[in-house]
Amino acid sequence: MIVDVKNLVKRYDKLVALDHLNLFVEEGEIFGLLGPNGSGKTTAINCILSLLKYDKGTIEIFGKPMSQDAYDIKRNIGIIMQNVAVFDELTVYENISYFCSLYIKDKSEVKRLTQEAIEFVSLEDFTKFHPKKLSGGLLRRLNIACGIAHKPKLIILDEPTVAVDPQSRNKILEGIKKLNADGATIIYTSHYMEEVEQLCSRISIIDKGKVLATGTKDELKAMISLGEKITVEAYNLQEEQLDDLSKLTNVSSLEYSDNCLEIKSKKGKNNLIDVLDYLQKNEINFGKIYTQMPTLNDVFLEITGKELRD
Amino acid sequence: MFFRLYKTRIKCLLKNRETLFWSFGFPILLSIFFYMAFSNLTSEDSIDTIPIAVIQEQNIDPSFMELIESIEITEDKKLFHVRSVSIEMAKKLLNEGIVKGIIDYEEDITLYLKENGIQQSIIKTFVDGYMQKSQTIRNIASLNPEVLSQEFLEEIVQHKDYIQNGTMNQKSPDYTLIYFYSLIAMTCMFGCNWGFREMVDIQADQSAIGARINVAPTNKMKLLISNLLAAFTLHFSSIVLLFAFLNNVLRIKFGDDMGLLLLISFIGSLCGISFGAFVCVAFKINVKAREVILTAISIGGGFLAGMMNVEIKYLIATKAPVVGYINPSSLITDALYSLYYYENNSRVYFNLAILSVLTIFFVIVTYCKIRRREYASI
Ligand SMILES: Nc1ncnc2c1ncn2[C@@H]1O[C@H](COP(=O)(O)OP(=O)(O)OP(=O)(O)O)[C@@H](O)[C@H]1O
Ligand SMILES: [Mg+2]
Repeated sequence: MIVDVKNLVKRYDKLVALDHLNLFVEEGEIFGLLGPNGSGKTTAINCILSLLKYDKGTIEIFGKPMSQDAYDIKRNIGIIMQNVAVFDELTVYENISYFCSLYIKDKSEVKRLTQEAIEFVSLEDFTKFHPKKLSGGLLRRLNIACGIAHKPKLIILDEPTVAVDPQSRNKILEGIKKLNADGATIIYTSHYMEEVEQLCSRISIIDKGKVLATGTKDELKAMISLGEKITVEAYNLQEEQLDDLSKLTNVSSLEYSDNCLEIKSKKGKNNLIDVLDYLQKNEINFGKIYTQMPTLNDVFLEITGKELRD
Repeated sequence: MFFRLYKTRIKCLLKNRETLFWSFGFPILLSIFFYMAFSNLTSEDSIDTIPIAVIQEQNIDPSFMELIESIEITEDKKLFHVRSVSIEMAKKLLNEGIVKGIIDYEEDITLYLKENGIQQSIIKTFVDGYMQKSQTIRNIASLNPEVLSQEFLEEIVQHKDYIQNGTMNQKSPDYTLIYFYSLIAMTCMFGCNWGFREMVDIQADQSAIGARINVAPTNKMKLLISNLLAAFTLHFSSIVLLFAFLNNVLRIKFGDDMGLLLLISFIGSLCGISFGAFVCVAFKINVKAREVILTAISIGGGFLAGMMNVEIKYLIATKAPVVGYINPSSLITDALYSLYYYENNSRVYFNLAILSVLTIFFVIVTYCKIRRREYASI
């Protein structure tokens, strides 16, 4: 177990930001912490890093209790904060080299690692630039390079793609996969479910400081009562026809508006054939059809009763 | 490792134009400004003997005559050249500009002057001072003669000695100097901005950089000391530069003891930096509010040390001496002042000792506050 968090409670005065939070991260995985804004992701990360005092609970990293001066643990952690944290007065190269030198003693090693980090985030053309002169996406990449230059075993990224253009975002996501392939364990927080879905091997969904569900994507989707969703462009459906449709064996719910019929299936079942059959028999005109497996958003919606995105 | 941290920090600080300007440029600009404002005063740096007339017929207190004739500017240069003349003669001399003032010693002293100027001010300062002291003695004597103890009289007499025999290191008092002392003290206290910045950058709850540094496996004390040392290096250089400028370009005459002068600013700079660090950790409010507090305290301290108005310094010294003892600005100006005016340096050392105690206090509190710290809120 790389990270093991048990019953973590953190209060800001009266606000309970983390409410008996439990997490564990296994070696080699990309673990996603998915939750809406203000759900406590950053708070959890800061507690794990011993930056924040917490009221209750235990935190172990690499099997040892984490604390402010657990230097042997800290040496193997790389952190990319939600807010960009670099010195405006130093160049790209100097920034990376400075943060790397906080971890690595050997001078030539720092030099080599700095160079590697620069290549890793493709900032070769900007080594002499000051952060103020970098675009948002490049700045994020610098922020990442500063966090990972020392080749940590555990990398924690707190929403590294906020306010980043799609091109930089893809680069970042690719980079994270590569770091993982090279052996690092990753903790990734985000409120973008697409990213988490694309990237993470295991996910905890949190809201209001509590873990609501944990599992792989498929496990999470299997937890909910919904199956496939069918959307059909169908014209002039009558009340009784909708009634008939909703009575088909595997239909769990049905909505119709603006000539668009949306049918949700029961868990693990499929309705497409039955629905098309019905439409044909009743000579109803229909256009485009598409089907969709449940997303993490559906999972979130079902667990919390609200959308993940606000 | 330590040296690398130090070097990087210096590089970082050197690029911060704003702090550099305030530390290196601003004091020099101010000194030029002071210099221009005082240049007509400092031209009378070497005061000549002032001719005055004393009305002859009066029943003059002989101790007064003795006093007025004995004050010296230098070893064999008297402050006043006194002529005892008739009142008509005196008026004629004053009108022709041969004497600069007439002293009419009846029951009270009346002073006649024709023009305004440095020499006239000196005469007036002297007469006022004399009247004040003789008045004090007379008042006390008439109210309660017993108070006129031997001790008290000695004190008064000593005071006279002070004027007469020049415990003042035989220098003509140059009041413009106090502004330059204030300037140096202020430059030392600018160190508080440096110290403050270092603490902000190192504390997780005050900056994103602080957070990143706090998750690194670097000993925080090592980091703190290398950073403060970097700040000190640059800040002390700014003071040395100011001295060099004042000494070599503006040719301001400080005391001869350059070593002590540098020691004062060395400790002053340390005190300024540690004070900034102290303010940064001592208050549990957001960074902006802390900055405001820092500015308020350092400007307030400067004000109380007499940077804006010299009178304030004396007011504090008489009414609330404790404030003077815990106000770094005041201690620094006083140390510089004593170095110049008194032959004996004990007062300089006294000020330096208090400054050092304050510095150590600030550093210890700062150390205790940030040692092994987890933050309640980021
Ligand atoms: N320093 C603080 N003082 C008081 N309350 C705080 C503080 N920091 C965070 N909170 C509150 O704690 C809760 C969790 O905040 P946190 O920043 O951990 O959420 P998050 O999941 O990281 O959100 P985001 O996606 O916006 O980054 C929020 O309700 C927030 O308002
Ligand atoms: Mg956050």
